[in-house]
Amino acid sequence: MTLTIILGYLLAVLLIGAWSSRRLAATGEDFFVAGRTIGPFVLLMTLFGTHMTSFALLGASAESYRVGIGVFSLMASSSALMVPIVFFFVGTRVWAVGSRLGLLTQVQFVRARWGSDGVGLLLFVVLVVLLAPYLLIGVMGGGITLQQITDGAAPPWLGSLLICGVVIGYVTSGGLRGTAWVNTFQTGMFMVLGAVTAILIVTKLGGVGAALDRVAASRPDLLIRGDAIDPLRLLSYTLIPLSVGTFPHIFSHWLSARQAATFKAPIVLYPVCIAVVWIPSVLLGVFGNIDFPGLEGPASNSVLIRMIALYTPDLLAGLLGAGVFAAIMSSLDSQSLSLGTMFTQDIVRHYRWGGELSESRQILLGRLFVVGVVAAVFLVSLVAERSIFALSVWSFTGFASLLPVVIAALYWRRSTATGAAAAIVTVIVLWIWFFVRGVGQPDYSVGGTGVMPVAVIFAGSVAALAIGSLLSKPPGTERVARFIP
Amino acid sequence: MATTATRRLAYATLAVLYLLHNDLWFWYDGDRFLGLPIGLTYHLLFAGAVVLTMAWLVRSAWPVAELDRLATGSGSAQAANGGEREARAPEAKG
Repeated sequence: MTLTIILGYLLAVLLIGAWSSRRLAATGEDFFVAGRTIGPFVLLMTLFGTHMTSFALLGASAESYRVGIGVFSLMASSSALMVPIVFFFVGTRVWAVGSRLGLLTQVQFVRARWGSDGVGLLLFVVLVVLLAPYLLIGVMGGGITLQQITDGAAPPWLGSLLICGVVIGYVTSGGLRGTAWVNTFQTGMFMVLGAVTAILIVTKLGGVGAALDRVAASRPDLLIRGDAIDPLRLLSYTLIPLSVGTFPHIFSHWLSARQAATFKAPIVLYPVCIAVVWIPSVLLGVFGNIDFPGLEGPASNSVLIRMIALYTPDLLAGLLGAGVFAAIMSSLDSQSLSLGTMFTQDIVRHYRWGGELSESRQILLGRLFVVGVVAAVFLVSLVAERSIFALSVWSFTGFASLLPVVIAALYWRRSTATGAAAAIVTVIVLWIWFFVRGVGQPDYSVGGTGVMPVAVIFAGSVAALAIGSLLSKPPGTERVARFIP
Repeated sequence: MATTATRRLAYATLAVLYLLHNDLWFWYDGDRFLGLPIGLTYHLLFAGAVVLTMAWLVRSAWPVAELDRLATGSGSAQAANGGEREARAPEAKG
């Protein structure tokens, strides 16, 4: 039953991808940024689906099981504020400049802004390195989820293989338009299924009030922030969602917007989407303490799946599996396509490997790189350790700390290639420094103060950008005018 | 057209929201409000306040003219083939 529902869902996804491919024009711009024709609703849904991973369903409930309701303020409402702000101030400008100059990637953007090949190449390497574990987490998460909801009947590699195969299918056939359309469907799926799961389980628990009373009787600490979350942690955590401004896959979706006004829906309604997904996840995680108290370590990660198995086993397990697959694939597709775009545009085309690239050859290379990236991630997932999941917040930290470079490109006329390079190198050095000290410690903070490493790395990035820019020769006014009128 | 004063007010509202996100006042409060723990209800309402603020922002402080100026020009027809090289041109000239 469970596998049938999931396979049915995957088939539906492939059909949408195949349908979208009918509209594919034979140009690189159409394949990589949907010909810049995406409308407001699809942009909202695809941006949200791309940004939210399976963590919003499984990880959030596991974290809430452990920490309590404070997880919503830490991870959800901080994104509800910061992400629309980034869309408003950064996304719309990236779209405007990108549309006029015909840019397809962040590396092209940086090269065009500062005229430096080296800074572009440096950024390319950093983006690929930061994105790789993010992809891996999705592929492995799919495998582990399928194994858990089938009670061990399906091996982890099967779930990973299914996800990779389907993503390759619709991304290579429909490009970014196919990805956006499928994501719209998938985002709707995991939003609805998350809510349905919560309603069914909470109803069986006797309603929200009764469930909260039972939690209050045994674990009242879960219904407050209390000592579980340090106020400085909450303050510094607000920098983490800034990563949305430098994710290559989000950048691609920004560039696909039809016009500036297309951004209005994502800017205004993003917090609604966040609440719809995160409130059920957080509440279910907290309520997991009623029937499954005392789960430690990795066992707590499966609290939502245990609750489903207890209250509504067959149908809901299948639907939840489909919902988790939707959340994973709606990120994995955009990530793999953005990497394929970067390899095609920033390396092969930029360095003219094989001469001038025709439109059809760009599309072919884009498809081949998507297949290569996803296949490589699948192979690594077979041997990678589960501790890789701890890397997600580190990946976000790196991306968030690069945002000053993007902001400087859009708003600071005096910024230079030297400043941008200094900021990127500073991020690399500080990131490695903190990573070595903090990896494997979920609550790691700078010197035990509660301040997250992202605050220090971000500040270092800003300082290096300012110093490097002011100490180097100002850029030409004509070049700057293309980005800052 | 958004006036400078409107924009400044909108941006100041965002700064206030950022401060309000750090609700130290409900940190240890376990009371319930609207059926949920007050620390959770507060942040749910906070998300609602962000929606209203952003709706006002895009209605009253949307930099349409600036964005249009940025987006129009040589057009995206050159898109996949010419854009990057067009942006390189000033360096070659200068």
